Amino acid sequence: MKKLLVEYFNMIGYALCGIIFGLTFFLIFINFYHYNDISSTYLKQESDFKANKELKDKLQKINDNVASFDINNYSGTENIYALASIKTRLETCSSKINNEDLTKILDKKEVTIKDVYEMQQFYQINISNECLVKQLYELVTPTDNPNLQISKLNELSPFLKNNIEDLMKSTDYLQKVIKNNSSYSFSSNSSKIDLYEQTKDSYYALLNNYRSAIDFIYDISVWYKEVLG
Amino acid sequence: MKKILNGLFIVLRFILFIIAFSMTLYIVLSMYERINKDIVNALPIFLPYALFLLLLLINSNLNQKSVNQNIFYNLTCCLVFSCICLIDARAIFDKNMLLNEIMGCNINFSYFSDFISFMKIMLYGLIISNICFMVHEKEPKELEIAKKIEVI
Repeated sequence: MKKLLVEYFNMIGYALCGIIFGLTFFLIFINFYHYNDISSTYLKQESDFKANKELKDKLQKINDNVASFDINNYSGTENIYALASIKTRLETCSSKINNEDLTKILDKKEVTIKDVYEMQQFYQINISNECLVKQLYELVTPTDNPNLQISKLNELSPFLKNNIEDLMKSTDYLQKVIKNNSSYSFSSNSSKIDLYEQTKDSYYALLNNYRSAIDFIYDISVWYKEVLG
Repeated sequence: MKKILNGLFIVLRFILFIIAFSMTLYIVLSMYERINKDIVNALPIFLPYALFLLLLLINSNLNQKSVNQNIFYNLTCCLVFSCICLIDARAIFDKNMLLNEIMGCNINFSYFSDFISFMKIMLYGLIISNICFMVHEKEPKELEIAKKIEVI
């Protein structure tokens, strides 16, 4: 009986040890996997630099479109103060986006997860907050502002509203993914990790958001130029 | 060979235990200092360490051969403490985990707290298996005498 009890205890001991052994290996391997995943860098290709140049060119075009309005020489029927207000807003947007920080981010040859995070923060602060919310969101409700009384703006406002709201939220998911890199990634996430290379794919997703936002501002500038005639 | 390997694991087990405990203590102290929490609340984190140390002392003082000569148990202990050291080191030094940067406190508490439950599971598992291995039949006196004679 005593021998049986000792055997039984030994069996429990070895079983527990085996489970702990397996769990430890699992934790060590998942840590190496996690380390590899978040420390990966993306070396930019020639096509990436071309895309960056296109973005900057578009920002320059926004400035050119806006510069076509001269308050002293305008002979159209629209309210000149409203046109001046929109011009200032678009110029502010362009200057907030086209600054040294953006150049630094876009000109980097090797992108790490930290750079992607900085890129997301730049989008959040300069594009989303400073441009879309502070400058362009007022164009959505032109009737509330006596300085924005332009006849064609009412037709445009639903389009503006939808786009601004989409663009404002577009990097929220990415921000969560990037911040989540500080936690363990378990089985529910593993299939996603296999398909989703954190640094490279987050970089491209963000670049698409940049492109959409700048295209959107460019479209407004084109509309503005058409309004001027 | 087995004896040498076992001896190596016993020494390594003790060294890794000290390193793992110190690193965990450093992280937990920093964490509790940051959130202004009383360190007494962290007792459940250190309880398994204390129990494990107690068992280590009992094993060595009472010369528990069934535990000390159990190579699988010693190897598992080494692995567990290596794993704890690795995770603590990553929480402190791995700057690619962005919460390190965002929180600005140089230790990734979020990552570490994810691991606390696993750490407890592993340590309590080792403690229970140690207790199970401590239960063993006493060798018959004749066998003990025969072994002594063999040694002489």
